[in-house]
Amino acid sequence: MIASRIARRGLILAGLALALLGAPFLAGEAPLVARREGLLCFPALAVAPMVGTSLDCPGGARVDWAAVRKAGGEGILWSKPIPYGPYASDLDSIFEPPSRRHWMGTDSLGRDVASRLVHGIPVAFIVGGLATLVALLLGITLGAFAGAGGKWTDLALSRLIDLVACFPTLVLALALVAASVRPGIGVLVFSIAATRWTGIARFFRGEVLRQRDLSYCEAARAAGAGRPYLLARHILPNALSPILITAAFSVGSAVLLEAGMSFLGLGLPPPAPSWGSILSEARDQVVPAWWLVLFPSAALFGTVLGCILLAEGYRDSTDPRITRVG
Amino acid sequence: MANRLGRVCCLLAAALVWVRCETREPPRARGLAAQGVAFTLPIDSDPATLNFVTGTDAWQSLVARFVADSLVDEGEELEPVPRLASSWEFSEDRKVLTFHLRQGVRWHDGLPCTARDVLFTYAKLRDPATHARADFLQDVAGVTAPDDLTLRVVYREPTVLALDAWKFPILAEHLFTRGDFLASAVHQSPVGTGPFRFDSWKHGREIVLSANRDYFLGAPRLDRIILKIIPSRATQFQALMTGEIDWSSIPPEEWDARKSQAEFRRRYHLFEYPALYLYYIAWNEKTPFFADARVRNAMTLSLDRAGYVRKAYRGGGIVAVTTFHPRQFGFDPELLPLPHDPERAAVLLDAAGWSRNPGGGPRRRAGKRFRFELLIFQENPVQEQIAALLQESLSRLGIEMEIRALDFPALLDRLHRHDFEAAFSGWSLTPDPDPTPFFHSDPALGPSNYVGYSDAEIDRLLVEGRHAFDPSKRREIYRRVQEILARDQPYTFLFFPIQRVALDSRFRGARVTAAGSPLRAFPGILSWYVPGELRKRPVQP
Amino acid sequence: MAGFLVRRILSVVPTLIGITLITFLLLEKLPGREMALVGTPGAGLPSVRALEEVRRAYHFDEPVAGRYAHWVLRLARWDLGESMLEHRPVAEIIADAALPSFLLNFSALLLAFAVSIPLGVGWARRRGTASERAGATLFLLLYAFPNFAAALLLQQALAVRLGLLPLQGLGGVSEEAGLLVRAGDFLRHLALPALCLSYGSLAYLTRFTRANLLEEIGREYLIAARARGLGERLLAWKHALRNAAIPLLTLVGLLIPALLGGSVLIETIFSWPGLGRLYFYSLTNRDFPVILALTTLAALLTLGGSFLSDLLYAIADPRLRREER
Repeated sequence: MIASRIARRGLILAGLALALLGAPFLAGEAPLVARREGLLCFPALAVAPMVGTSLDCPGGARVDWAAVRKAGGEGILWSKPIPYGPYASDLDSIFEPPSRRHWMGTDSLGRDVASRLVHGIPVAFIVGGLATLVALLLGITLGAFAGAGGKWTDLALSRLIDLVACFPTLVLALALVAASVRPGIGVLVFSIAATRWTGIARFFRGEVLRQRDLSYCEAARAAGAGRPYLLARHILPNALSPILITAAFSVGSAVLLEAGMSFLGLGLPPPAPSWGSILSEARDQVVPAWWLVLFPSAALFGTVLGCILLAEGYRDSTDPRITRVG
Repeated sequence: MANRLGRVCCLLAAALVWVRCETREPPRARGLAAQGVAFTLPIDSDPATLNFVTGTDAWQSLVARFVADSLVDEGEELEPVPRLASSWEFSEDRKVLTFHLRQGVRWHDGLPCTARDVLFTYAKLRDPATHARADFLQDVAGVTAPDDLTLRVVYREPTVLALDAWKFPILAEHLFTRGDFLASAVHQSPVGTGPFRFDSWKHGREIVLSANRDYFLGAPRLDRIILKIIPSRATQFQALMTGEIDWSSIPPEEWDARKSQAEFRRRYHLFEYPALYLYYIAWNEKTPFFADARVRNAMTLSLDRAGYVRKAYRGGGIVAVTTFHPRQFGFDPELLPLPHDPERAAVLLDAAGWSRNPGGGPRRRAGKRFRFELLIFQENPVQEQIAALLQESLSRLGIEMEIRALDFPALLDRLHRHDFEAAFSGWSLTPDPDPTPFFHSDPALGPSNYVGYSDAEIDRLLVEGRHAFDPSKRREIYRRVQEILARDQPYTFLFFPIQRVALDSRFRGARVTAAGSPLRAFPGILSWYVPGELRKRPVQP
Repeated sequence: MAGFLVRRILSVVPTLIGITLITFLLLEKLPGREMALVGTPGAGLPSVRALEEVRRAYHFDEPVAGRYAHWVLRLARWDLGESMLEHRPVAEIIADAALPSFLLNFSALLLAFAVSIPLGVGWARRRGTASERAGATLFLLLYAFPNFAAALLLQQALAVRLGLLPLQGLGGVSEEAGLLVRAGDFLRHLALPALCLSYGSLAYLTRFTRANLLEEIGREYLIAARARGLGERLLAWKHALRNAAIPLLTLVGLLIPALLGGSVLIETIFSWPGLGRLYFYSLTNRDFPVILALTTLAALLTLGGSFLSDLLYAIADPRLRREER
């Protein structure tokens, strides 16, 4: 049903929005609602400079909510579900297994794992999403040039695509990160994208080559349409579905690649709450902290699974061969 | 399918169990088909090379200790002990040091060891083409060998460290006559004069040494030393528990539990000794932030070093005041490390001109925000953790610190070019406390002075200290040095790690000394033995 | 077809040149290459003079083009050069690491294929049943689970807590022990890493086999088969192995290089001294000859793999077309 399809898509979008924007509301030291000096205030909403300051509590960013909590929590009316920040260390409770206080336990500096996991969601999606976007742009552009350009352009670009595809993924990403002058999140996104774009480029080139000989393209050309117009208005939309499916798969593998790099110590700089870096803390322990392995693994797994299901669901919904009821 | 799958799984599980039973060696009966006592210890990775002169990692120097000899060695109380040199004397003005080599010392291939070999090694150390570290020989003006058993060293200035410089292992000249020195295959199978001879090196697996029965100071009582490559500390500890190896460091989180277990203490000797290593954070004084000593003091005050060492590192370290270790000569016990005092840090920052709004927010001075980048080494969890703690404390003080993890060559490169604001690193220390390499402003004398620290009084004191032969005078000089360093905080000195190791209890004669590890200092492993009844039985065929 | 083959083989050379050139240029950008050779963690910085010496000795001060040409000429003589760190021939270092890598990847592939084909066939034959859906879910989950996370989990569960399998490494048995003991010990050490490398491909291949089978064989053949009285299972196997084999084999060509590259994490976690770990280690230590040699090797494998799969497809096509008629 159309309604159910719209509802499903709306749900997916809502989920994504929650994932990307919801972290600050789910986990953090500042409560959602508090009362200080007689005023009702909402420190969690104090994110935007203009609006926020009026909603924030007296004392602003200098209020040490952790200390307030330790002193009995007076004035805190409604805490966030996970009342710990992702960077707040507590040397007295390092490597604690999951308990009522810390649902997913603590890490080597006493930081709450659940909070780091939750704050790792936007990290993962932003890095994975941006990397996929860059890969898409690169792949479509270069694939278009290869397919629509002359014989020599095609030859040169095809060789380039083969070339980059030959590099082992992780090593290419690592080399790019190591070679950059000022490593940072931009370089990380680019190096992950650099390993993903070849498949898209190859596919789009194939599509362009296939479609430009079709009758409708010939007709359009006879009517005077230029190549860019053809590409943008006709070829791209037709090739979009498979590309989007690949993109959905790609987000999952980009997140995994980032986690792998963080695991090796080459991803986002510490103390960023990347899932890979939480995993790497569990390494080299005689009696390892299982909670440091299980929960980030589950998060990674969930992300990849979600991407696959999304991609396959989209593919099934646009595949004319599969008969649907209703 | 479910049935078949089930059957396959059962088969697989049975196979696994059978293979395990068949291949598990009974823990205490593992042994050698040949008779003899073997000491197996783990190393983290293959050394890049076993070139005694240019090799830079700890594993290489461990092998060098067993396979090679130096002219002098350090004894258990850090006193100089004769090895290849049977005696030595200084001239009146202490500028000439003459060594008399032992008679009849032979290389493992049978040829005699002479002063020419020492000369050869010295020449290689100072040859820039080998790029070996030789700054400890910088005071030497010249070396000659009047005859095969005499070596004559002339120093530019009399120095306290004259004898210390000759504790490096000696190479055999006759093995390197052909071809390129660095690429010689001898470095894959080194030859020395030491108590153990090199047997084999299987890359990625183990290095095997066997006893040299003709060793001039007496045959060792162990028959073999096996250095097994086990990359992870956790696996090393497990291998110790299963009896696969005889020596392992004890991870900090295991120490508390194990040291009170009677059974564990029965099976293993436990040793605890200071590692001569210092973690520190370097503050580049050429940046606007860290030129002011008050700011550097504030940095140290804002970090809870004692808390980290006690809690996260399980007491496995000693908080440092300066580069002087409590066990080194001249350490001033009156000088205490700065406490964890964020309020005082805030006061110092304000005094240095870095102020912030009463409502919080970043610190500024003349419009510039206090924001800097700390470089750390990428695979080091200790550095990551301390950096994270520092970032947290500093953010409460209104200072933004970004952490950048680099691999080792990139980090060293930036240190070398002084292209950093703050950097995390560590130094290996020598038993002698002379801190000239770290603090002298002349790059030739202070190659480790990354931050460009320059204090005229310190320069003068350091030079004096090297030439002060009266211990009480030297002590006084170093007391003043420590005082100035503590006041200036050119680096935030973090802590000296404490090594905790366990040795299988069947080995006797091992002890911790002033030099640290039971494997260091003379006689070291030469005095180890295993009583007959405790030797391992060979495996039944 | 011969023309196609020749063209493909000829295109390998420019691709290789392109890859090695790009790698060379990328390596130029890595900071600290002199430091990697002289610097010691923990000790002071090397003197400016020592760095100059290194630069001169390893020709870092010469132009890139010259150095690259020099390297290519050596490669043409099958000389991979000498490691800058260990001063050993690169060929030796790679050979040392290649054997464990080969054994690991080969067993992973073997495991994947040996298990996935029967599973895929059996699964396809149970179309419409509950176990089919359960299988679909299971294989999807297996496919999606990140392999280094699985490695850590399995390590913790099987090696540390239950002690069933060793934690890391190649094997700890001394040289004098019998062959059976050593082989068994090696297999025990191989089990976990091979499993972690293989289960992802296994899940993928099972789904692939099943999908292929379903596509190739409609329900019609079953009716025909039953009419002819042939065993259903036998026919399924015959058809599966014939029709799905070629596409599966073409996948081999593409999977091999993926396994090689993807095993960096697994090799690190299990301390398996293979090529992936060597690659990573050489990169962080700026051992250029080794990096270049490994990149060339990886490129050759990838190109060879895709060539192989293209070749097999080219062979398969006429047969399939004949079949349909």
